[in-house]
Amino acid sequence: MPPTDQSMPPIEGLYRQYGAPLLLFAISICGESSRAQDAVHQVFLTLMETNNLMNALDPKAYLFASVRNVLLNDNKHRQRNVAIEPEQLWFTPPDRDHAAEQNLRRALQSLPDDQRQVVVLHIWGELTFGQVAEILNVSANTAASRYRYAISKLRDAMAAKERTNA
Amino acid sequence: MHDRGEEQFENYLRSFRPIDPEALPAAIPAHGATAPRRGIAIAFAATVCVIAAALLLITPPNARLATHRVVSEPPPEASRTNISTPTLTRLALDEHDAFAECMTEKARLQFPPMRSDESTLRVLAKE
Repeated sequence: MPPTDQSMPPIEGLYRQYGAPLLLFAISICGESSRAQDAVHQVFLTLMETNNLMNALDPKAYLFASVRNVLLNDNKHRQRNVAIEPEQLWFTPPDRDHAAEQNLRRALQSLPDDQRQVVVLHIWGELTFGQVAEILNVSANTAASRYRYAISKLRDAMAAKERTNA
Repeated sequence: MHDRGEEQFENYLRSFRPIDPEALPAAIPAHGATAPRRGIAIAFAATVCVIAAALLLITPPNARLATHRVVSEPPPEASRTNISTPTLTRLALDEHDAFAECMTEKARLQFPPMRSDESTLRVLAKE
């Protein structure tokens, strides 16, 4: 994670710190990078105007929950779910291994929505299962259980793909 | 339980960095920031209106009439315009447009303004 610049206004510092995992979380929900980007921007611009973050007990979890709410409300207006864009990059891969990035992205896309969101929040959002549970409105045990299933499926899917490529 | 393989796999997943979002669009100025500027503009406009109204009330009606007359009188330098007869003749023969313009100007200077109490029409009517 990039360090927060102390000289910046707090909201922009949070954007630099959590913008990337928030964007990934948004893409994992809606499947469209442009819509995900808009949702993240909307959350931060609203925060700049209202400064509601001051009242949040857990600002980080609040940000993730806000992004999710924006996208869920948007889904209600649209009355449809958009298919995930298959070729939109989600990650900067280690060692520029773009095949691995594609492998991971497709494995994530193959997961059910709830499991994918838990994995993104826990791995890249660095949130505890308690925080994940708060954001997704489930119990912490459910969040942990979904995570175990998801990780197992991810490993299998990625290993199978690597075997195919080898 | 967290087995070693799962932990390694998690670390492998973490080695992928989520892509950075685009920069935030230019921040919308807070409502409080525009309010003072708007207030200053309104106060300035109100002050101008009050001063204009006060000037209208303070200035006596005669002064306003005098101003109107001064404006309607021909400019003093125009009255000094004097063209000799040979020049006028040459203009009449060679440059019709310039001659007509010259005559119009002369007529304007010779006769009083049309709309005042001493306008040409009124003077002729009296006679």
